[in-house]
Amino acid sequence: MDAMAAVLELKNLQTQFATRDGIVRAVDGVSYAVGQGETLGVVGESGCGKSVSSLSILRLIPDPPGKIVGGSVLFAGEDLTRVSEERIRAVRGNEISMIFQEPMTSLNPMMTIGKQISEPLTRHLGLSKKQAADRAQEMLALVQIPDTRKWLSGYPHEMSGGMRQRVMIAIALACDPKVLIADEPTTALDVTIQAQILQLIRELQEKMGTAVIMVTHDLGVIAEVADRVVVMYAGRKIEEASVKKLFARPRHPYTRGLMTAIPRLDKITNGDGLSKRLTEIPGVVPPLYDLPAGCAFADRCGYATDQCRIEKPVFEKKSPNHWAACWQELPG
Amino acid sequence: MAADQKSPVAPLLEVIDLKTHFPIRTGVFSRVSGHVYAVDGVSINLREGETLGLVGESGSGKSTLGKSIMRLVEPTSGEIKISGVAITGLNKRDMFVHRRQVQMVFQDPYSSLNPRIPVGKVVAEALHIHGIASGVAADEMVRELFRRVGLRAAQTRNYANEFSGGQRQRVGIARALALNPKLIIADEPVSALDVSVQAQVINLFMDLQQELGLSYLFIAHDLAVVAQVCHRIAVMYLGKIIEVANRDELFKAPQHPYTQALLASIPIPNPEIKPAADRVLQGDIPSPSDPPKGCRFHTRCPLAETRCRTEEPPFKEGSPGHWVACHLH
Repeated sequence: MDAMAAVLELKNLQTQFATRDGIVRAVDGVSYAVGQGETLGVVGESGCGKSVSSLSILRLIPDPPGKIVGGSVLFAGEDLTRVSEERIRAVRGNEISMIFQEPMTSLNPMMTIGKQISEPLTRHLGLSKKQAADRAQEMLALVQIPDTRKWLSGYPHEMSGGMRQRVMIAIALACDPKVLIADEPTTALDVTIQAQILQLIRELQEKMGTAVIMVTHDLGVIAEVADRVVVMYAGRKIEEASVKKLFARPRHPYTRGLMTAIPRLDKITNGDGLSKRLTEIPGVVPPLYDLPAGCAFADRCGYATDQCRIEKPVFEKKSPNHWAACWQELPG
Repeated sequence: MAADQKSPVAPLLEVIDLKTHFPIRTGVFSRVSGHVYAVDGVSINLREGETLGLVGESGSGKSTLGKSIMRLVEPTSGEIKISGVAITGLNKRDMFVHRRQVQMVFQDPYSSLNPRIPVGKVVAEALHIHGIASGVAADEMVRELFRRVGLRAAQTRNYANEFSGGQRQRVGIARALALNPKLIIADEPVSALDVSVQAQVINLFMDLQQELGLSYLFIAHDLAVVAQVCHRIAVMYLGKIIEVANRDELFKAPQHPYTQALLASIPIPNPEIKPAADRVLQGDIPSPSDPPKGCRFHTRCPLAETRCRTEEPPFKEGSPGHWVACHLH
């Protein structure tokens, strides 16, 4: 999709879950790529498949009930959906690492902070205990934890939410990965702490040239950190563009709906849009086990025609660096 | 706070120097070893038909303040008046009568709806308990309430798990409205909802205010949401209100360094606006069990001076209706 050489590329990825209600196509043919030093934003609401697509990259989908049933994840000349269990473990936390919304659930409460950072270093990079401990302290300093000596022997429960997320970032970046997947990394944090963490990720990315996939529901976070954006709805990619193009002129009615549905602080301070009603997107996301034949957004869309209800829209180029899956040509 | 005391009519809600402290118990004898100063001397008032936003980060005490006004947690000291009547000293029975005037909407209505009873019955129960209506009359009132909040009358027969998050919040609002309250305390009512549904519920809050003349105390961490629905906004930090102003005034001319930092931290959904490099506030919010001396914000304040570390700043009205607790103003 991009002229830039991709570090990681998803091609037509399909991940399904077997549920009581039927087969849920959580990720239904999604493709995206991220280049070195680039931040790709993946945005959408609950159930759109943004998290499942990112978990599929490292094969972290519980099987059963989940299964990657098609497509590929290309990384360093390999298809990660097909490599051995041993190989994918070597990739995880080493060449590609991941941070999550709630750091407490991914940190080991019984293990010191220092151990948790140095463990992947001894395992993946074969460093000695002493080397790994030194590197762990360096990493803590890098993510701006004060009093690094003390915290090396501290435990996660002694830390605040923001500090824990810093530790997660330290663990994720300790092995100098090519790709960092950040799944709602600031959603559980207060807004002043969110600002710290986003700035930290940005600084470290510049320093280390890491490719970042930022998965979030928050368009504000996307606008702030992403270079390029993929918008997902009901398991599919419905729009992709450079961040500026996406916000300047969204081409999909859903993206447009999202942007007008959020209260805008920047509009309020400009004195327009005071206490006007928000523009609602009517209805709810259709259940993923029972998607309509045509466009999944058609029932909520003001532009929908008969064609939209019958035929799935083709994901096509609308302008340079801008693609969308919509039959309609929206007014500028 | 003495703002707007000129008006002869008592404000709908008046909170005077309210404190809610929780004891910390440790050891085998559960000895009280300290206190969490969740709400530590808060004064606010709220006029009829007004929406007052209460913003702050985790640990600021905003939720405890809301629950204290409902007396779901018992305040340690201070006074709460509703339409001029002090409710802090009321016994259970009088409080029961009073509670009709103030109702609460929570973040997750699912946890407050009995999953084994049709939601219509849950709402009808409130009407019955308070002796407003029962039987067929109550059922008809509930159907009317459901229509008012944008649900179908037939949905009164459904169970909580048959509703989406947005619909459940509508049920929660219907239940709060059932007793015809004057004031609704809404604690993070849209934070669990997706953006597209959030807009629907925010609009509903605003429509209901217009139709019924309701007042809201709207508690939320999301400043953009608060800006959308509120007339006035109070900012809390570590158990204290540090600034109150009209919405436009607060966003255009925030006075307290914390309010300024909070506003600057919000990511703006516009890639053309780049975040200011110096906006990032250092450090974490201190523990409310051991709040800093002097101004509670001084440990993170870029402008703190010597007296900020020792002397608590008074809450002053800098310009009409704009109150701030900061030595620098």
